[in-house]
Amino acid sequence: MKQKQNFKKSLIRPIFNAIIGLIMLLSAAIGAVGYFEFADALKQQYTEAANGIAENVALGIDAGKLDKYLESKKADDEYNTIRNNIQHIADAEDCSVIYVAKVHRDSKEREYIYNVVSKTSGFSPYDMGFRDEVSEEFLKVYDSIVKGESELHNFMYARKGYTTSVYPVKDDSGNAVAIVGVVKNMNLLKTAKHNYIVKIILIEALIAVVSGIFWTVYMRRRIVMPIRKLNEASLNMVEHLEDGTSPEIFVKNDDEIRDLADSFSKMYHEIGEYIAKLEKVTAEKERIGAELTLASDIQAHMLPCIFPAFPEYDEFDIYATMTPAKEVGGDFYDFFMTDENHLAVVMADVSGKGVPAALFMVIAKTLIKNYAQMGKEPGEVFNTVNRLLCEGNDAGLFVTSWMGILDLESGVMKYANAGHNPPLVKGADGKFEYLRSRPGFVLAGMDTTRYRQSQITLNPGDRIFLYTDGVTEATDGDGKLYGEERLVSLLNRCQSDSAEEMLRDLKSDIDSFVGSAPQFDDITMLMLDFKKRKTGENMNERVFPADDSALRDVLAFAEEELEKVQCPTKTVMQLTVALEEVFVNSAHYAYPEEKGQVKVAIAFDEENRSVTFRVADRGVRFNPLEKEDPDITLSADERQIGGLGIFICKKTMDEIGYTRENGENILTMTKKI
Amino acid sequence: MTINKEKNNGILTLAIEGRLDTVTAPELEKVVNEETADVRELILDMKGLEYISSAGLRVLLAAQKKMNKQGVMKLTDVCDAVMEVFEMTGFADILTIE
Repeated sequence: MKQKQNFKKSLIRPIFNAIIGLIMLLSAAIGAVGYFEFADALKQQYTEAANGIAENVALGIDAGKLDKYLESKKADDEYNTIRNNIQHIADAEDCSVIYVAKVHRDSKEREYIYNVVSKTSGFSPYDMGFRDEVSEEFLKVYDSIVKGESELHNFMYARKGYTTSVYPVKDDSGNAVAIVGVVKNMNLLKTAKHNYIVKIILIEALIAVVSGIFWTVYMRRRIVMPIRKLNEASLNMVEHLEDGTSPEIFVKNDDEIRDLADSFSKMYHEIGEYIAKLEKVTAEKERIGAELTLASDIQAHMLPCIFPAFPEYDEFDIYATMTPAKEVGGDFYDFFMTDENHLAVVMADVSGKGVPAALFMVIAKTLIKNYAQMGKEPGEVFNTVNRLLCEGNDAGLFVTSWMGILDLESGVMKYANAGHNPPLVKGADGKFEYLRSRPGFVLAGMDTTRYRQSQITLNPGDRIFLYTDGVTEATDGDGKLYGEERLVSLLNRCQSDSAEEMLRDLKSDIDSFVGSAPQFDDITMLMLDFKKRKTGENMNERVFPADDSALRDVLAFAEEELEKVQCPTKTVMQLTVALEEVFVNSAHYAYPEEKGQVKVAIAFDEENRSVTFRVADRGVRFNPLEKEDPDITLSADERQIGGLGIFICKKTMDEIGYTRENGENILTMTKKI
Repeated sequence: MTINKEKNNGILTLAIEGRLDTVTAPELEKVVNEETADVRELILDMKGLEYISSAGLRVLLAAQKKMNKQGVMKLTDVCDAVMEVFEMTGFADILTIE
């Protein structure tokens, strides 16, 4: 994770720049001040020198002869001597020009008497009597000298590198008759200035670089490096936390950065502890989550979910589904046989959601099933279950439930309602309609509640649809409810034959209605399709001694039953003949030693208009149907006596079957009438 | 079941009324065995017979076998239901039904 530190980005750059800049500025200021002081001192020195020279030259001049020289323009020996003296001074004192001139105030001119240039100056001297113009400034100075206000005056031309001093030449009466001018070179000033500036800059640069480097290194050690360390430690924090190692964040100097490092260390350790704690909490949460999933699994499997649920019963078709809104839901359905002839169906909705509702659901479901299987009727079941649920119901949960027990033989369904929405029943007219009855109070609400029981008779082809409010209160994106009207119209429109297909169609209609809106409540539905009444068990059954002498009673019993269903005479004979054959068969062969009994049962299937006989004995295992049929094409003399009885049965009956169950030979015959 | 016997000139006519089943068949069998010793022609009047089971068929078959040796046997006025049993069992081909 080490990052190459980019100088452009580093804190060192502004620090370095600031230090260099600051030192340069400081040096420039000091240099400037020093330079000007030095230059002033030099200038002063030069001025004084020039002044002295001017004064000396003036003293050596004979003021009285000056006018004579100007008139004659002729040099005499004295003139030449003075001139040589002046020349000597000019060379010795490095004065470019020394002159003595008379000033003509009117024409603003200077008329030179002596004009000497030094050998090194490179100028050429003016001849005696040469005139040149003077500046106003010069005239002013001249005026003040003439008036006696001042004697010595100096003109400084520092930039041009020279200074000029003027001094009056006075006659005996003290009047200024001429002016001495000394133009002194300031070579030293020039060269000194140059040297000084170069030196200053060099020293400045040196100091700037050295101190810049020093400060930068210092700052780097003191600030940048600790910050980089901190940065690295921050970058690698997760790795350190994973390894369980401690990042190195030692800072030598006790300053703000060390405080920061200490805070970081503290934060690091606290985060470590926090993560450890979080891990523990998360693991706990995961464990709870896994257990909840398991619980919801168990709950889902508590509801009967293997379809077809009762393949041995063709009297009805049942299908149910539950789509929980949360992991564990509060809705449940149930169906079970309370005995061979009674089917119980339950639809319920526990108040609340989640684990408490699920636990309550398990209790309620178990209690209802237990009491129903004890043979109690729905009203009684609710009375008892309600009382039991009220005990210790501190959470104040309750259950709405609808329960019905259908007698498969008669089609009578007894039911009770504990605050649940009524089911829809499809009757003879083919339309689903609500089975309204005044519901009792919810289960687990009040322990004194008594539940009223009602009943309805279902005919073959009738259907009953139980559901919870999750169906009608399914909500689409706009908050619109699915509603009873839509439910009823869909059920009426539904062409599906089987209960399962109907519920599937309904569920997909709800799904398409809801769209992507979230599901708020469990959606639970149960469809019971009553296909036909049970006939097997409502057979009229009688027990006869296994003896020919009982035959008359057997046939009388059969004829009596057949008369009830208005059986045609010819069929009556066929049926009674068949019954006789089977009964006699049992009487003759079932009990070779002691005498036994034969059970004869007769049933009528209204729907198919068919009669079923069942003849059962507890004798030796014998299946008469296995016997070979007699050859009916033989002549009378060749024909064997016997074997005809079962043959007649096979010929006249629509169905004939044999089973051996629980030690009984059971022969069943069915014929349409 | 009732059986009316009428014997005339070696012709025995038995008019059977009621049911010929496991219980009554032995009665007919007994009559046939006792009365047909010198009979050439046995006529079974089935007009009153409304019911016949395999036990009855057995007696008829036995009678037919016996009469085949000493003469003829005829059945008269067989009702539809009984006739159907005869046809079903092949007896219609064995017996002489008028």
